[in-house]
Amino acid sequence: MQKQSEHDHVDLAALLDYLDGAGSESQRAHIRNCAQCLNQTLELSETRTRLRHLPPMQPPPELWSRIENELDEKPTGVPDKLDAWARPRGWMAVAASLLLVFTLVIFQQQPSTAPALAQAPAAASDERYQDLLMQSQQLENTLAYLNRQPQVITLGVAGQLDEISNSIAAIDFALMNSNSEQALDAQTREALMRERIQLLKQMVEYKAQPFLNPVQSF
Amino acid sequence: MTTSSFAIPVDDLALARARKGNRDAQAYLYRSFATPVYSLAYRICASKADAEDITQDTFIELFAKLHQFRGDSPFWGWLRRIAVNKTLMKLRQRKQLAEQAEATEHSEAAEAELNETTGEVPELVQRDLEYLLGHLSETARLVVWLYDIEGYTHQEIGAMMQKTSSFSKSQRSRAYARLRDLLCKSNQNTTTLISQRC
Repeated sequence: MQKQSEHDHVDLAALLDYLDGAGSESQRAHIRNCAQCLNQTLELSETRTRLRHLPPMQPPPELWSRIENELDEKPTGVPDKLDAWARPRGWMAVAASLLLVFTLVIFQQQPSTAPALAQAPAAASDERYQDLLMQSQQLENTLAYLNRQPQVITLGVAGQLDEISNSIAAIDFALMNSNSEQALDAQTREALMRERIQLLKQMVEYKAQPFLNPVQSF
Repeated sequence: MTTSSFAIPVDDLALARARKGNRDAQAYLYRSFATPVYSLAYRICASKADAEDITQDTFIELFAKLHQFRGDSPFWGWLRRIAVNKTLMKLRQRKQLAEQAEATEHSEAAEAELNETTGEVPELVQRDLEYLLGHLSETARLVVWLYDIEGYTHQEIGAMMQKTSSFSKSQRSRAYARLRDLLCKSNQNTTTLISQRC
């Protein structure tokens, strides 16, 4: 390696190497013994120090709102995955719900054991059903709100929610048929809707639980 | 040895909750890291609008990919890499990276501006260094910031820019040469600080 001449000043790259603790020994020796190079190195060091002490920049306060809006549009959370046993249980719930619906349909074709309900005037029945529909809609709204809130759910709760959701889907399927030729009578419709409301209430309870007993860790 | 402003410890439970989409946990991560992300983006891009975009994109990607973070390295380093990548993307979007690598036009314009505005350049305090930093090329700012402030190696910076480590090293030398020249001119225009450096 060529020895650094005493009068051959090093270039800026070598000065920066010196600052970084790198560079050849001859260059380092030159810098240590050359007032001009040493002075330039000190200047570079001072500039670097000042760069490191530039004050931090604060983002505008509204930036988080922008990020939140984008997060609302594109939810990013990864929900708890149901484990292997949860899926079969979900299907079992669907089967059970379908059985329930089937039973109710068969039941409504038998002579009624609830004369008060069966003999109620059609108008009154419709009114009751409208009330139930309204209750159901209110619960749906509550659920929609809760679903927009980020939350951590346990595997067990996820499984329960999955079962309830499948049961509601089965009831909805049956209620949809009430508009077809095989229409359900008012009593069955009402029973299904009451069952639906109960299931929705259970879902709301599960979903609202984290807010009632939050885990505050930070 | 540099200590990155990103080097902030985070609560593991908060990470777990943010991974599930918990908004409070996401807000906690944002509050913890918004300033270093924004500062890095602003220092390199020299634009508040771009720094805001980069910060927003960084956190959106962070939350979208948080489930991929395995925890075998510090979280802050992982987040910082996302922020640097977003900054590089922004620079590429501006289609100025290649041109600015030569560090000519803009820097010459800055020099001309300094010459023309004799007496208007304030004395050398921190904010003026920032002013001068803003007159470096984007590539120069990027390399200086990543190497001298964030502590990346020339090899890492070269790889990020799809260049060699020598490229990073030479850009840094040119950046400091440019800063030195600009500081000298600034000093010459300052009545309160007599420079003996130029």
